[in-house]
Amino acid sequence: MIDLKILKTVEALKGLNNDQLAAIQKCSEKMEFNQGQKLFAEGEDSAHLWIVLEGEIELRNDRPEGQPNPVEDPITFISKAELFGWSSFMPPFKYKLSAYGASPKCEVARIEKKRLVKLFENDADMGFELMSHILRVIGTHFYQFRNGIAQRWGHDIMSGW
Amino acid sequence: MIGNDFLQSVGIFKGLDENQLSTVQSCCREEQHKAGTKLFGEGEPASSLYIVKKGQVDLRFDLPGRPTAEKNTISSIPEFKAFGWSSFVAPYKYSLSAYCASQVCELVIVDRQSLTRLFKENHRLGYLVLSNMARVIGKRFQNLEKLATAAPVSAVKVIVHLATCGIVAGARDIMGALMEEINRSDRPDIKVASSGCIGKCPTEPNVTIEIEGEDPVVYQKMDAEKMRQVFHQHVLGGQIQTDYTLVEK
Repeated sequence: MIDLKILKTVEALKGLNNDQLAAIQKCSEKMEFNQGQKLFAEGEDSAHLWIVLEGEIELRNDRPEGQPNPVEDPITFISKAELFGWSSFMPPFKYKLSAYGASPKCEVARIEKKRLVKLFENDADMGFELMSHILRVIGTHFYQFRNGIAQRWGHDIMSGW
Repeated sequence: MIGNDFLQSVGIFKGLDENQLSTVQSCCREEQHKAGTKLFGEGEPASSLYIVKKGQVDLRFDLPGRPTAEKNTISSIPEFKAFGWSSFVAPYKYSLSAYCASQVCELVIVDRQSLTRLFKENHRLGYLVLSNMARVIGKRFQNLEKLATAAPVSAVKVIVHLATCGIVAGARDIMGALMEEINRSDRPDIKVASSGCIGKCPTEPNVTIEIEGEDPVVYQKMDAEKMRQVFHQHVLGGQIQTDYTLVEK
């Protein structure tokens, strides 16, 4: 069972009351991973949202042959009480990156998206609270990606390529 | 007048009931702009979400000391689609500039503050719209990723001649079929434009295909089915459909 105290520290869940947190707790499954162990792979169906309970998780692209990139090439690290796996809420509902344990012991909560959506449909206050957060994260990633393309294309045009 | 039936056909308002749509209406106003008009500039405070009611809008990056150009376009927004998502994401500044890319653009402008207030008063409405937004942004993200990683392709522009004579002859159905095919295809880079009569009223509806490095091809007496065929065979496959090309007399 996941400790409610930990759920209370998760930024995305801070607006929820005890009953709402308890409902999320019921949809969650506690899992443990070792350093370098894969939680999920880029391109797999993203059916879960994840919370780091202990340790650190690394998100990165896999090499084509399925081997992880060298350790010096991560995309991002996810620390305790942070949520990840946002692609479960947007098409094509597949993970954009692979996730690996990045500390000797990693403890995570895995929340089934389908059950979470059912909760949201029954409790619109909870749905609104969490979707506001999810949209901010998705939107920020979208803009960062789009700005990157604009900068690259703009640079090419200015360089006369 | 912004009707519920229009709002219902916009992805972000999908699934809303009549009452909810009527409430959303109260946050909307309409504007009309001519080709080339700058709707907002990169870096400006993002106070509104926009929906294209008629025409097309290009989202472009601006380059210092240079006028705007089609090649600076990152996304083209067709009818019934929304843009201006920055109004819902910090730091609430538009990240690209928006230009009217058709002869006329009719836009529905949704005030962010009013919509956010509605969401706070009615969390079910807020949940539905935000869930739809996540799905729509996800699809845009996907298209943009394909565009960024795809091998370079020749620039393609499809022009549907939407003068009165063309509309009477069925040009709107052609535009609808074209947009459906583009949405189904993996080619979000294809530009769509509407323009006036080309002086060949008896051959309307006319459609012009412009592919970079090739002569433009004008098709005559088009309908939705022919448009789908031309899109797949000519635009995607490179085979001009000579049975339908305009014959000069």
